[in-house]
Amino acid sequence: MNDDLLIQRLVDGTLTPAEHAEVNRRLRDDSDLREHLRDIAEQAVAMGDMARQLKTDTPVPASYSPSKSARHSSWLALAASLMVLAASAWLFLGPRETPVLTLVDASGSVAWSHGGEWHTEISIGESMAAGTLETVGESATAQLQFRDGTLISLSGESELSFSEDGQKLLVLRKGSLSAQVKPQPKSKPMLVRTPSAEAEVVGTVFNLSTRSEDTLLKVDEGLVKLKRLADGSAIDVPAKSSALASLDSTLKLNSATTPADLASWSFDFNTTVPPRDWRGIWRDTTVGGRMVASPYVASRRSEHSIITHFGVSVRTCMLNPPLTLIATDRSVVRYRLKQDQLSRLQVMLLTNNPKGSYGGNFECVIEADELKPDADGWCDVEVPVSRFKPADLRRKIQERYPTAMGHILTGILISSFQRDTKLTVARFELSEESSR
Amino acid sequence: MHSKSSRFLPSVSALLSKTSTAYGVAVKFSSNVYPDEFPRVRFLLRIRCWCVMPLDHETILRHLFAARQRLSAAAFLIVRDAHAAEDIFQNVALKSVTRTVSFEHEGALLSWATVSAKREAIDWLRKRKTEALGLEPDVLDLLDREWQTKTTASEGARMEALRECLDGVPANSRRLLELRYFEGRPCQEVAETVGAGVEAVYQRLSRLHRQLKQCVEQRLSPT
Repeated sequence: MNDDLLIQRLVDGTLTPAEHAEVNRRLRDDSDLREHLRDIAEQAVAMGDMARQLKTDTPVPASYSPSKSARHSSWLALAASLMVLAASAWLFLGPRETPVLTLVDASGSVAWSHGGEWHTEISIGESMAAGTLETVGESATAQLQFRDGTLISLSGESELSFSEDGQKLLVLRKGSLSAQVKPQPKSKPMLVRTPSAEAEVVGTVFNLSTRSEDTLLKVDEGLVKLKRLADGSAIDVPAKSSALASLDSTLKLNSATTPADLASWSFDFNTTVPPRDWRGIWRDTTVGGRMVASPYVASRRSEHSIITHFGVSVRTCMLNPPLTLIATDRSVVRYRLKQDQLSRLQVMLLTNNPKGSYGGNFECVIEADELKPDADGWCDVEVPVSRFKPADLRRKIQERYPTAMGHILTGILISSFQRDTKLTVARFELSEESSR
Repeated sequence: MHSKSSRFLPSVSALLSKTSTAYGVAVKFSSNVYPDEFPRVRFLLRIRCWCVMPLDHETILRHLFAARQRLSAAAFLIVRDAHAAEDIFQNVALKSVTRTVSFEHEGALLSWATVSAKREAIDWLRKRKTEALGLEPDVLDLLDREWQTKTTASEGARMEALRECLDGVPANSRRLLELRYFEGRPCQEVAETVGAGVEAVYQRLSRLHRQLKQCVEQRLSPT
């Protein structure tokens, strides 16, 4: 492919991985090609300027102009820019500098963006002004508190923008949040917006999960008004109910009673196609279905690198209808699985306490020599809940969340850590010991 | 900035520190200075002292706007969206006058602005979950360096020339540029709108960019 075509495809964002490597290689070696790319970028920006100029009929700030009149207008533009920037600074930085949320607790990687900068080292107890908070990693969590005591928990790969200027405004772009909301003024309810819905909350306990095309709301206490953005329709979702607001407005928006709490639940990949909220790669083989581990972000090592694990997981709050799985002292987690190479496994339970707020993450490591494969390589793994220990090594956190027993399981995952051993799961089961 | 060598001569460093606080004098200590044979003499010889007033907001913005095209274009190479690139420049300009840190000279300001624009651009991409493959960091660095060293004509003059050249582009080609950069449409959409194949659009755009460059160079040449 010639240089021009490659460069155009680069600017158009349509390069294949091979072309991407090739264009970067050519750019490293060829200063003329780099110059051509710089010209394209400058021309594109200049054309963008002209477009804005035509649209707004206002001068675009220029740096310098050789003619006297143009120089004059350049200075005017600069002065105007200064005024706009000063006004923007007041608007953006004035009210928003006020602390809105305090980080009460966190596990895994949490990042906060404010004023265009990302802060990746946030201490427990640190107050944050309006901005965006991101939890990175399948088991990451962040517990946050508004000044009135309203609690928010983010979990998994989530991104939340927040502000409070007389009214709490949250934008959940992805992931899940649980909230215990203190009574809010009726005229200024807390608003939680997602790409597909808006929840209006006066005071309640609920869980909200969003995906690219829908939002799942599960209300534990109180009442939440859920509006579907696709058509503006709205419903009240009462306690112990859930509703799904989809971008597809042909689907009926209604609430349904959340199924009763379960201490036993199983999923057989052999016979059932998993819903999309199971993480992994489902394969339909001649001998039945299988769920093969896929890579996921386990945590962030530094600002620019992440740790990837290979695993199979489910987030119960994202299933429709949402599941409420309870871990009891007799609970046992079972998997039927195989690996290409026997390797140690990690099973994790992500939990909320019975009130709906964060309950801790718990982990059990199964060593390779504990696995007893049959002739076909399949292993039946049983992990009683008593084997799970707090995943967080901090003593204070271990004391606060010592056990998963009595907690709601919001997520369950199994992984082969950073090794891709082609971990394949045929069946998952949560049951109580006496049921064996 | 005071390096660890200042520990060895507390009185001097304290004095200079006071001076720097009172009069805005920046003092640079060489970190490899340790008292050996003639510690005090060597130390003093290596002190470089100059009076630097931090740039005021107006000067900061004047420098930034002078480099606006380059900074926006550098952001464009990451985000591939001319309007987003301008937003990124505006954010950088806003941050430059609202930061608590001051800039001692134009070079420090522009280095900071280049890095900030790049970070903002990467954040922008990340927030939009854009999966398109872009330039490797080392290539972006090369482009940045050349932008700083190889640009001869003043940025304003080049932009003025470019605008004049754009005015002279034939209507059908202008329509192509408008769709692509004014409206920010991907080439596939541009192709569908103008009733051509996407490869033909790539070729026409490429030709137009080269013609515009030639036109700008002619207008800027002394003859």
